[in-house]
Amino acid sequence: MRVLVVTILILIPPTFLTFNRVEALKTRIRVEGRGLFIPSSRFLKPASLGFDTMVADLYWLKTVQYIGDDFWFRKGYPQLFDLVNLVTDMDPRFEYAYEVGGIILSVYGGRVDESIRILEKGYRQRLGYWEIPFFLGFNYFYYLGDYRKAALYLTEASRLPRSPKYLPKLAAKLLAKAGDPETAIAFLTEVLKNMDDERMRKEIEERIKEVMVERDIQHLERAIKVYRERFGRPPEGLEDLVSKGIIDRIPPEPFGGYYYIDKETGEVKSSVKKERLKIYKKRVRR
Amino acid sequence: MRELAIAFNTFRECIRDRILYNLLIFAILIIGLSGILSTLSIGEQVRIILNIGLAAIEIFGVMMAIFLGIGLVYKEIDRRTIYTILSKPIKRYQFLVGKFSGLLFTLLVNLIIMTAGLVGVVYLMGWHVNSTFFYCLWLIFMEFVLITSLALLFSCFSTPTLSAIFTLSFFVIGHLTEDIKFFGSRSENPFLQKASTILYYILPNLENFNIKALVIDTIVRGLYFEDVSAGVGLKLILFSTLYGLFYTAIIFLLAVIIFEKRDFK
Repeated sequence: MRVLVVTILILIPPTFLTFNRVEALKTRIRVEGRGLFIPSSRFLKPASLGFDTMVADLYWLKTVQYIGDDFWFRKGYPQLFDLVNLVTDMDPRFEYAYEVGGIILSVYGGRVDESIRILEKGYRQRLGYWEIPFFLGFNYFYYLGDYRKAALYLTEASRLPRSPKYLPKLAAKLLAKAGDPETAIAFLTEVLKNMDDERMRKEIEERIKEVMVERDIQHLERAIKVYRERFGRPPEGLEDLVSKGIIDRIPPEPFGGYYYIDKETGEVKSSVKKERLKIYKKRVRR
Repeated sequence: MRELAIAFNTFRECIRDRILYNLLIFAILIIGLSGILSTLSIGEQVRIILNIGLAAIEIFGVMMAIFLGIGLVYKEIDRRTIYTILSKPIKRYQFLVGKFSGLLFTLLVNLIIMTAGLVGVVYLMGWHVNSTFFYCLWLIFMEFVLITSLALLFSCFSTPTLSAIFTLSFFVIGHLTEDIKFFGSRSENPFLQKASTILYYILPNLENFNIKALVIDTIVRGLYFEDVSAGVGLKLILFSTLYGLFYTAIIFLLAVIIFEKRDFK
């Protein structure tokens, strides 16, 4: 008996050693890179033998890890749509997956079309969560500049239980003053209220500041136009607008910089954000 | 010599088992079906045949190992034939060695039959396989060996039903240990991290014997296994085999310990 136990003890180290060796060799052979293997739900659904919601949870855990991986963050989450699509195929009532998938795809991934596809898939399920049409509206408004559709989804969202009271007002504002940066700031502020994640909040806060810069620039350029009409020449600097009493003061730059007039083009610019925000145009990666 | 007698008897007992023929017939049917299915595909026919065929061989082989293995010792105890055997001048470990090798021989014969069926289908479809194919079968056989040892271990102290459930669970979990490690490594709970690492090393990693995808791709592209990844392939076979043998030895010795401790009076 003792011999047997000793033999087993002797056998354990070589088992581990060969195990590690096999592991090392396998990683050398593997060529598929860092991509995830995501099975098709048409296969996985029957294969899960009725445990589809459990399999959905399992893939949801993988999705969360994927979202948390900085490598994929920098790559703009190329497989996120497939992951969320699989999770929501396996469990179509997985509201949180639609919502998080939809937000991350557009805000971080820059994959607005995929974000809309996921959110609309969730919307078709009629789960009764106002967040889904709300973020759909956000996508249409902020990335695609489709105010009419955005307002439509916001109105839909406002009819659902527990939706915030400001939604109908926001929808009306969208239809009336679509191109106004103030509308965008109002919308983004509401989006911010519904974000828990710190990284997401920072991202949205950044966007709000960008729109504020746009609003200030539009404001200043209107003032310059007035100045030009009154004095027949453009102002030397923005201070002229204040000293001649056209505006009360130069608005503070939200990123901590300042505004100035570009001598060559005559345009108002921010010292921090050199590029003018094309908020009402598509901002799609790829 | 005595082991051989037991082994031969086990082989005879196994090939009289109806369950073996059920499984074998289904295996051959599915392998045959792979030929028909492949005609539905555009190109890559041989890939489909090999994918389905090798999967059928592995699954049905494992089922044979489980359903024959779980009865190996239990049946003898149940029918009280063990008393007559152990009253003969034979050591208990010799009895187990005989049982184990008898079943392995049965599995080998069945593996050969199923392989012949698969190779036949491949040839009928106008393709051919090369030596690479047999490396894959070799590792599939190593998986059978490991599964058989587990079935034998459970058979030494448990009823066939429970043994079948245990062994099947090991088969399933053996293919999922990498997921255990993955989720454990992402957990923030240090206890979970430790536990998943320990489980990862203790449980048999049956994925180590799974080179089907690699082998099939090699065959389809008309290459030989020796060409794959500059010699890494052969090393992989060698170390996977060693791993399988060491692991099986440990499980087998555990079975011997349990069997030695049992009281048959």
